[in-house]
Amino acid sequence: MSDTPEAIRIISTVESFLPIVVGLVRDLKALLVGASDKSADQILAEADANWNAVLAAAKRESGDPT
Amino acid sequence: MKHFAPRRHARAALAVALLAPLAFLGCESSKYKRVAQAADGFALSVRAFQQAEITAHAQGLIADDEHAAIERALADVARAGLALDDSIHTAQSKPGATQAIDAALAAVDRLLNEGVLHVKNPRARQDLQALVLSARGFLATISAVFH
Repeated sequence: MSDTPEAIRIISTVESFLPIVVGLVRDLKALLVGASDKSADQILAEADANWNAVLAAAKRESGDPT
Repeated sequence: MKHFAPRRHARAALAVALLAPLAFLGCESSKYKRVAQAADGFALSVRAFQQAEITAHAQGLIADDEHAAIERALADVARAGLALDDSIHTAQSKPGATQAIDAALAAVDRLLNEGVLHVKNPRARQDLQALVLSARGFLATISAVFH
């Protein structure tokens, strides 16, 4: 029975990864479903909105107003 | 030992970066739309990286000077991302977009080399590095569709 702790460790590792795998599939589905009904221009506008949010937060966090 | 908490953001970024290019292969949408989707994926993954980094800094896993350097580099990535979107919008498949892709790649590489790789906490550095590399993958997708 000396392999039991190792088996428990492996099972625990698999158990911890399962929600991540399920989450991966769910996130990808949401991305594709959300993008399918939009035009390229609408998708690019969303990308711009994300960049502007990143830029605003970066200025705030770094203390750089430029 | 503190754990790097923002797993949801990391998971989302890795999901879109690793799986979305495969999905695009089967997509019947136009080349322009495929590039736009990849550009949006790039922006989303960088935003997820930033949220993860801010959380890690709040948890004390990233020092103030490291945090400021990363955020300054992120500002440059955001500007390059906006320029890339503009290039895609105006040039679409024209070669002018290549220059914007190269500029975005350079900004991402600076974020990695001058920011993330200087983070002293090994766990935080490893997680943030994975997120940056996943974002970089979208630029490869954009470049591949254009060429």
